[in-house]
Amino acid sequence: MKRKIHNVLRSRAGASITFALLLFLVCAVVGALVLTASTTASGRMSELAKMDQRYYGVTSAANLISGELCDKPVEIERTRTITTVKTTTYRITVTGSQTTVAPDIPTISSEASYNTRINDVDVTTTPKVVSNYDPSNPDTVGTPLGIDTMSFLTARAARLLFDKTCNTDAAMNASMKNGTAHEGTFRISHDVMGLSADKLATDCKYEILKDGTLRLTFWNADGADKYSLLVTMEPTIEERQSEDSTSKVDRVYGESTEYDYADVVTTEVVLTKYASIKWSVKSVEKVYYEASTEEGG
Amino acid sequence: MVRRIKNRLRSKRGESLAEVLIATLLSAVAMVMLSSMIFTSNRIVTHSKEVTQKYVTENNRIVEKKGTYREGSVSVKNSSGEVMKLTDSSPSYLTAWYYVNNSLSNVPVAVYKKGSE
Repeated sequence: MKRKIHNVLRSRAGASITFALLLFLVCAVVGALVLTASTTASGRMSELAKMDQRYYGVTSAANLISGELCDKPVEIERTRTITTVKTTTYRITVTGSQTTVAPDIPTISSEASYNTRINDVDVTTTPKVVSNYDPSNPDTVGTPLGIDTMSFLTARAARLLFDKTCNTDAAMNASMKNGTAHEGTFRISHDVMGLSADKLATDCKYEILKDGTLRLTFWNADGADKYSLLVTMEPTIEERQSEDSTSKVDRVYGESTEYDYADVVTTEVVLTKYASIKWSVKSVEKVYYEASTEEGG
Repeated sequence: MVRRIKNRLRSKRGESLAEVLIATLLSAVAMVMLSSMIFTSNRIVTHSKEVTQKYVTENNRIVEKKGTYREGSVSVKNSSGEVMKLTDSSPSYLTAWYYVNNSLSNVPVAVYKKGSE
């Protein structure tokens, strides 16, 4: 070993250029590696910013929309008035000193009128009137609600309770606690100087469940990578009803040759149902974005 | 060629002055190149740190919704593209305040909230 070292020290053999070339190569490779590493590290920043852009866009939209919808009650009042008119006619027969009063078979006619008010606004313009109302065969044709013209929250509450029509017995018996489940989508658009409206735009799918729970799924409208957030809003439903009945008797004399007088009994039964719903945020969670989410009806 | 290199490596012949000078020059260039690369890399890392620091500070500001903001409007459009009101008492166009982190000018990050009417 000692001899070997001695030989190496005394040797006149050299490889200066080869060694220099090797050193050059090593230096170039190491330098390139260091440079690449630092450039990549700084390049990650813009990727991080893009992720933040998506994240903050969606969370801001979720906060703004849920905040706007939170604790805003929608009140719906339905009234059905059933008016029943029972007319009994009487004929007076005088034989000598005896007077006989004979009633005819009474005639009964019924009429029902409906009225619906949402947030104290009459949504049906005029009360719907159903002639010859028969409780065993209630009218099935209701009044269209015109959901497209309502605000988002009012339309959701109205559709949960009535689906698309009101002013029927079915609508009178409907409950928000077991309503019509439905879904759809909307887009949150922006107009602000110096920011791209496309990058900020957020899509939302809303789902109303049968029990009134409102689920809002938000995601970025732009780009392939989307951040998705689910806001679940819990409903507070209040339902109550009242029934009021009035009756009056009118006697009508000699208006027809067929009878001498008539007793007209008019009974009015007013059924009023009140329902109100408001939502509050129950949970906010990140969810996996699925393209099928966008296919809301 | 390979044989030539092999022979050259096995050769016990000493180096000429020219060869030594060239080798020294090459080594010097290599060292200068490496050190400049390390220096550049260090500068990139320092700059990157500063940018990150600024970005994070700005992000904290916008998340807390403090400082300057831009005023804009938010509208909600249904699937037919028509603007709809969120509630009966909401305006069709909501005023919003946008807090923008522009520290990475090519990717502005914005947080917004409902502004005062």
